Amino acid sequence: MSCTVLIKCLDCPPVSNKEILRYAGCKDDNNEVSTLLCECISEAEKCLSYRVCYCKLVVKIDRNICDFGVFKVESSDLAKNLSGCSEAIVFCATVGAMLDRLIVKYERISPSKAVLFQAIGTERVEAVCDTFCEVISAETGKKVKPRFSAGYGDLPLELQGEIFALLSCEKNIGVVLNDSFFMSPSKSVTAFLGLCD
Amino acid sequence: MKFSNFLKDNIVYLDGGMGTLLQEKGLPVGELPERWNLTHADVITDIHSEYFDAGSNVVSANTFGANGLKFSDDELDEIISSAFENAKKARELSVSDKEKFVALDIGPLGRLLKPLGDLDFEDAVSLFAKTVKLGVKYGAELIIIETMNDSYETKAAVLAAKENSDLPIIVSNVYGTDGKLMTGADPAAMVALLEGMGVDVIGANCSLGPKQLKPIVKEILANASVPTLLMPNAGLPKSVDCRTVFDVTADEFADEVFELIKAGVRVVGGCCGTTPDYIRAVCEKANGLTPAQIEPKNITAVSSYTHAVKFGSSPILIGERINPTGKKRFKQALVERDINYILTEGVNQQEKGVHILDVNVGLPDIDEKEMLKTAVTELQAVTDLPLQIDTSDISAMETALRLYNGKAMINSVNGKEDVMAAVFPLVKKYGGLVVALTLDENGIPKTAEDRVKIAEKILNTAEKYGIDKKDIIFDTLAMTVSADNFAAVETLDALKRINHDLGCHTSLGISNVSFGLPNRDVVNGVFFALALENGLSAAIMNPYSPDMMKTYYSYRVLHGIDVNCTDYISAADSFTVQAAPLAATEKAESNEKYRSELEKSIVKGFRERSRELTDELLKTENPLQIVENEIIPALNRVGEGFEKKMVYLPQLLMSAEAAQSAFERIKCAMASSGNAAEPKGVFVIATVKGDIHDIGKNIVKLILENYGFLVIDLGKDVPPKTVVEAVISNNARLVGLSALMTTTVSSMEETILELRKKAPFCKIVVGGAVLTEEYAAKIGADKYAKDAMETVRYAESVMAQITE
Repeated sequence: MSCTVLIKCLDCPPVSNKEILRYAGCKDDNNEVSTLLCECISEAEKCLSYRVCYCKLVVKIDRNICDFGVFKVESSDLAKNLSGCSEAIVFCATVGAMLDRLIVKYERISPSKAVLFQAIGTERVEAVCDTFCEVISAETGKKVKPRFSAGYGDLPLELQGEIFALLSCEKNIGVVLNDSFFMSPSKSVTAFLGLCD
Repeated sequence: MKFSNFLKDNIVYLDGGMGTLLQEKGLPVGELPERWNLTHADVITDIHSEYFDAGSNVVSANTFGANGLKFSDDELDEIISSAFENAKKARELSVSDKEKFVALDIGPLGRLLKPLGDLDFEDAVSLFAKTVKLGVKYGAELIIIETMNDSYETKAAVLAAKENSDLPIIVSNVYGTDGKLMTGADPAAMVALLEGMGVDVIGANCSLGPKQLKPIVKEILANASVPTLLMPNAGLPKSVDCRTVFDVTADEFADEVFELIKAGVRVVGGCCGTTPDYIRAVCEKANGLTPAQIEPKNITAVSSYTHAVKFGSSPILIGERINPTGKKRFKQALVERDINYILTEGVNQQEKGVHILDVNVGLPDIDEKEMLKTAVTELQAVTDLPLQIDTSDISAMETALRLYNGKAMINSVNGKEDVMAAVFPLVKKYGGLVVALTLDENGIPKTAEDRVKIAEKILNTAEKYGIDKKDIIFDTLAMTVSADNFAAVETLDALKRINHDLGCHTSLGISNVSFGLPNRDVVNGVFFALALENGLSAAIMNPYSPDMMKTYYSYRVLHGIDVNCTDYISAADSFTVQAAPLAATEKAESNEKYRSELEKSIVKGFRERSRELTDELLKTENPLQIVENEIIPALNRVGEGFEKKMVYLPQLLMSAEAAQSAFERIKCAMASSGNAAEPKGVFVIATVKGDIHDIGKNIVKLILENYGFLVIDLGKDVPPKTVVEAVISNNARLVGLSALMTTTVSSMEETILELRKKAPFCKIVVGGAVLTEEYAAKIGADKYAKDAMETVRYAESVMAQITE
């Protein structure tokens, strides 16, 4: 069973300050925090590189078994998510390692900025995923299901190992996995994306 | 023939892709290709043989991912043994009459190194060492370290190769479309690092096709004095009829690569998507071409994990502030292992515009080796400036050079035989630009002539160690003019001669010249200008001195270095001392009541302003009064707001940082008056073993410090034993443990058990995303704190009970 892993470098939509503040735990706007956030965003923007590697797979669903050919996954939640799809994309998206450099730096010298850079990273990687899903939808002319990641519901986190083997994430976009299935760069996401007609 | 001899006079052809070919032959997804050395030896041998037949001089054994993270020791031995058997058999089978070599192929470990990932640098070195030893055992003729996307991991692999073999080393990195490695290094930085370590060939592979790699290869060619390598992909993958195809054909590939061979590339091969056809096309196209001569570039440079700093017409500023000499507050920080102080000093100097940071943490009472190791590790987490390792302790110097992520500047060597015998081998092994002081066993010569003689002696000795003149920078020693009126004249004369007659770069520690004089900055600034005019390349200096910065920017303008005077103009504002501005908006907020400007500034989280206001108050008020009357009330106000959910985490932290900058001035004032504040209590804090998240812990630490606790921060991934030892040796009554992952709560429990046994006097407070009140009780903690403020309140109540 061969499958082609493709790579995309994406342009991302503008940053949403409101969304970042939400991730940082701020319920409403505050002048001083907003000023600091603007500073952080302009520093972060130079460090972001949005990359995705992905692969299209044929999927057969039988009760709670999703058979992707290259591997089978037992998960009723994923099966539900992919119901009605005959194809799915599995992808890994990242904003790159340089943002982690900023987080590592400011954890040491300014925790307030570290919290904001964490939040910026989370918002950005979500934005890459959104953009990627739109692009795929446009390219294939198909509707896409909400993306579904290992660790959601009953889909085991251990599946990360197989996703990484399939996508060669390290070689293709520089993302590695440690023994606890955590990804580096930390602001990276893997997920399944069901395609339906 | 040996590979190193073949490399001298020939264009070297490597092989092409392996992974894509194996997949076509049925390698299933998820199976490690290295296992096929054992299970499908014939397939592997055939592929190698096809490459030799296509014209490859070097075939890489199928060992790319053969490392101790993926295989057990026994299996690793078997795999590497069979990999070489297969490659050697292919060489015998091949009909090609070209010179043929078999290389040990080393790829990345698949884990990112600290601080970005969780793998320790020395662990990476050990893992690579295992592979290298086996490669040597089974007959590798050279080592190819390739597809590396991190400079630090590359350094670990090269060190392992050098320490366990004397084979030629080829290194190839993966550059992105931005021309940098994933972790930030540009080609000039990689060349500085790798050439410094004595690598034989430097290049780029993977990620892009030959056309896109062209600018990167040109950059390597312009910097490297060793042969350059190119192993591009066959463009980008596409899916056609369920098959993977690459968008650059063999002929297009050969055309592009041929152009770059003509431009000077000496070692070529292919990466993903290339096949024996691609190699054959390149060999045919380049047949008969004369290999380009490799010209020495004579670049004097140091590097960090992002960029190289080159010494030339524009003066290089080396920040001198990370040095305890004459600084009471700095000494106190070292004794207390207050790394934060050192990091802030580094970041501030970078903001002032220095190009390199000198790092000196030597004090009679501290373990300098350990301290320098920590300082270098932590500094390279917060700054991308190259570091100058400043120590006379040789073992501290070696430790620092080893784990430095780049080519360091080394301060220093001198004309003494024993010092040269100790320092030069380190320069040769780890690479580096070494500062050579013109003094020897007889001290500092009085005349310029004698200092030049010492310089010549140093150059001759360095040559015996194989260290090039470009990697030595002379310091002709600025002596105090108030003690000897002609001191500066001799120093400048020596500088000029070394620069003109020996053709070497020079550096000076500027500030010493004015020792004992009033208004020293004035003399320093002018002396700096005179030295620059006499050819000075770099200065170890104080970047907070306006006089020094004025000289620097003016010199660059007057020598035509600063095009359109841009740098001068943007720096000019900072030359005049300005009154601290009071923003109009701040005044307008009259509805919010603050007892003082400082309280308001802390509540608002203005770091700079809080520092300035504290300095102002210190002129008239007692430091402890300022803490009592201004800082603590401000913190309480924000802390209460946070508890009532009216202030959010980023605001709380901004205020805490503003308070910290105020405290820093208070500590400074107290250190210089010889008083130190009595801490409220000692609090040992750690993220438990196995857990590498420490932002939560850092937040708690910051707030505790604000409230007057002496916090002993043990960092992250801390074993139970270390926590127990720290609690006992500091007689700490409070311990805070943090865990963010469910998998590490068990090591929290283990730590608590140990503490109960060996340090029953301490109270244990725990926190972290996965914990709950019930769980904390279950694992035996005294307290679960949901955030930093709750930890402070608890710590205060414990200390209150103890003092009662």
